[in-house]
Amino acid sequence: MEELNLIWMQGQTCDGDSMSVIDAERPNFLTFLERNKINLLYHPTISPIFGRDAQRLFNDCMEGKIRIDIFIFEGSVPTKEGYGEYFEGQDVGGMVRNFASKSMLTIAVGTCAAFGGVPAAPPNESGAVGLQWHGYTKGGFLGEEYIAGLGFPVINIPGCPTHPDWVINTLQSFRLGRPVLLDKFNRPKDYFEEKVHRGCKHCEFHERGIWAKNYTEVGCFAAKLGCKGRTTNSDCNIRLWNGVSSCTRSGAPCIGCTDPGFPVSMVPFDEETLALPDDVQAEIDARKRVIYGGESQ
Amino acid sequence: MGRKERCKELMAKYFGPATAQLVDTMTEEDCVDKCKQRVSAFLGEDAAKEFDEI
Repeated sequence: MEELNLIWMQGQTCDGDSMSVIDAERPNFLTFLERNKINLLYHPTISPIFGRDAQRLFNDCMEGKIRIDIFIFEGSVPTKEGYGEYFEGQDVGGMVRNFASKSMLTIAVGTCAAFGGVPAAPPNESGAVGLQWHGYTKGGFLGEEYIAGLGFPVINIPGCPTHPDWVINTLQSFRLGRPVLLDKFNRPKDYFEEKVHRGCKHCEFHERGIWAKNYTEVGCFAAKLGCKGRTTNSDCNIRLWNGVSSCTRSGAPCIGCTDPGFPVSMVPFDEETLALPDDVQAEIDARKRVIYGGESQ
Repeated sequence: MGRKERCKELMAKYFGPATAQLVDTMTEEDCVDKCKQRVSAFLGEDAAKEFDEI
């Protein structure tokens, strides 16, 4: 197995996805990289190099002197002049295009990199877009035709922040020869096929129509507190965060952070904003009939 | 089964349908080498040996 070079760049970001991935456990991020012979060329938070050394590295990568196998981008890409378009003295857009054109895998980590996210919300003064998507529309910064050297489009691993397992396990799949299947928004199906609703400890209240009216009440958060768990794809309540919890398990409604429409389509967070798709409603009704022998009150 | 079809089958097995589709952009002559190079880089020499039989 050859050593693979990974470069991790950031655009308009709060650094939350980096923090999340660095907090990975079993194994931790650096151990994972070491075990899988992945050489981290640069990461804005944990790399020891910065300034001129970093600029030299970027130039070598852009000129092809150093191979880029995996390109991870965090944060949205600004497209208007004067809005953080430079990083370590380099033009972010030019660097992204260059690295993406050379890499075997391009991965957008976090909702901002995947779909534009928070910086792309109105009024979007910086012209922020995701790497290959802008909300629900394909295109983004690299354009809808872009594919990386291994044949994949930008692999979107959204979340605000992303779950460290989603990133590490996706990379691991490519090191183990385990096929990676993507959904219609180019998210790995392994982690984004289920709804957040699945595995939520409030499910039984939902099925019985017991709705919480405030955060401390017993009941489902969907009807009165705007939980988006029934329409948002991610395995948060099956995988759990830090191995023990999730937003809904800790007493907060899901705000739909892995959805391409986040945050615009999800606000106001505490009101129900999205109608249930027919297939979700049918599944919920079927489950109610099996468990309780009738519809909810 | 042609060389490209065999390459597509192996690439789908290792990486999934997205990589298998990439083989369509290759020729019958260069597909084995290009696929072998990618498999070798990500999965190692043992996995890449499968391409020697094509």
